[in-house]
Amino acid sequence: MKAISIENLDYSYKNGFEALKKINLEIGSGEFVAIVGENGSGKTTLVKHFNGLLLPSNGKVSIFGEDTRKSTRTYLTSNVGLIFQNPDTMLFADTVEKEVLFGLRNIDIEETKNRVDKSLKSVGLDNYKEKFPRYLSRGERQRLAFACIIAMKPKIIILDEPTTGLDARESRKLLDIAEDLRSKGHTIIIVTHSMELVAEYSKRTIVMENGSIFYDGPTRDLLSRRDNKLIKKPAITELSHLYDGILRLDNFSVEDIASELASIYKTRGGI
Amino acid sequence: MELFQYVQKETILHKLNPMTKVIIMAVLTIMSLLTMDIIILVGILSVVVLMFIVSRLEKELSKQLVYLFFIGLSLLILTVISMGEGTVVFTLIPKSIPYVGGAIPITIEGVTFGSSLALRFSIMILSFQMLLLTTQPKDIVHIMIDKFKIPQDYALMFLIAIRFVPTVYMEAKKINEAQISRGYHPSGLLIGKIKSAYPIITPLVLNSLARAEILGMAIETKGYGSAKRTSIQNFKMGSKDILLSAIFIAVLPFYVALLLNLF
Repeated sequence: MKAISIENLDYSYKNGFEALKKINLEIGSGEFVAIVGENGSGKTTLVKHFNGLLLPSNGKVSIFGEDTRKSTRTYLTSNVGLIFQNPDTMLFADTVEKEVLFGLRNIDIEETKNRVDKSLKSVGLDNYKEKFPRYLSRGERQRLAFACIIAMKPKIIILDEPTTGLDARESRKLLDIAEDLRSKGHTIIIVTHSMELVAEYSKRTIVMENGSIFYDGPTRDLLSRRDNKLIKKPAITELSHLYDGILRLDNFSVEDIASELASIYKTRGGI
Repeated sequence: MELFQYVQKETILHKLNPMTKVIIMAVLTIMSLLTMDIIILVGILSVVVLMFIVSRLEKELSKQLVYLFFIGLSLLILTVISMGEGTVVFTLIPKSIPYVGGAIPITIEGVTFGSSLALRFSIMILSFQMLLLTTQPKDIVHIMIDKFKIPQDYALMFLIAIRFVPTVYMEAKKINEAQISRGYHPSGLLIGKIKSAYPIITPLVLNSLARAEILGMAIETKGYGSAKRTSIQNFKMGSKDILLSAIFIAVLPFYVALLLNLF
């Protein structure tokens, strides 16, 4: 059974804006999927349908075969975890431990201590249990938000632009945690603008444009397309497109290769 | 979230000088405060509603009416329950019940007074909304500083408060969504709802304070308060402004005379 299946999904906001148009999509268990696209293309609106925050205007969204219209809040929360771009939208408790406990109590989980400890350990915050969440750094707060969701053990985890405002190291830490969860069978969906991270972590990418799916397929194939202007490819991909010949690495030092790429970059007009 | 938010339209009310709209709002508010007569209050409310229609803000009005209905209803119920003196129509607790029977009488005076209060409240809120919906916030501030000589800091505070109502509303919506994603389900009863607002209120207050701090720094880096303020726009009263202001100001003494039975 597919983790997520969407049939002919349309969604319009109350002001009449058509945010999603005829979306058809299937995401299997254990997949790592990236959703990319320009601002306002419908990425966040789409993922809000996965945990029932939004319900389709037309069409159907199913989570493990259950229609989100007919599912209970507890079912959806237990199966789909959504981590928002800004962790400060969810942090309210006076300690890190209580923050994680909040979600568990909401879905009536009894073995709380073990889950809190495990989830905090998995994000590297096991020594911060008694700290006030707002005193943590931005990266730590984002990992805490992640821990809050991990503790609830949802089979599907969605990260909505989780690396915004994070440095490269913190971004990688976060995505490494997500990849680790994927290897344990969770379905990971990441909404992002960072094609570097997409290239590194996600095998499948969905590109959205004006509320529709423009591309859905292997990330590798997407990056090899030269005509696609909707995404900003990683610098190395752009360079490889600019370089038509074969770059032989034998007998070249790193400096030689860097100098060769820089000269291509300059002569072909940059990225 | 249209509450307190300027709506761009090309209507006569939008084009009026902000001062004229302040005069209209003030006259309508004073008129509503001077009487308890339901028929007169309904008449004043009709004028306000007509102004919404003239400004092509029917959609905004219909949204406001829902909130106003519930607030007005609460006012009415509270007044009716708390005002026990007068002609009793019936009692909420039947007289046949021993000891407490006959308590909480519903009186004609209570219903009338409650209805008047609800109408007054609606007139004041809607006429203030009319000013905000048809006037750019910066123009209101301009009037506050130049015409009413309100200190710049207070005018700015007012502007920021109005400007941030939709922002705070959007923030509250995001927080609510984030907490719902964690299984948050406020209890159904009123007390439960108040208690369970904690996960929403706390981040909302903390985020608003953080935003206020950033905003403070931002306006300081733009040189706020470092020099004497000048204005690009010069609001002049046009013929329509003078005519409408004169009509509304002239109506007021006649209205007072009418209320005092001087005619």
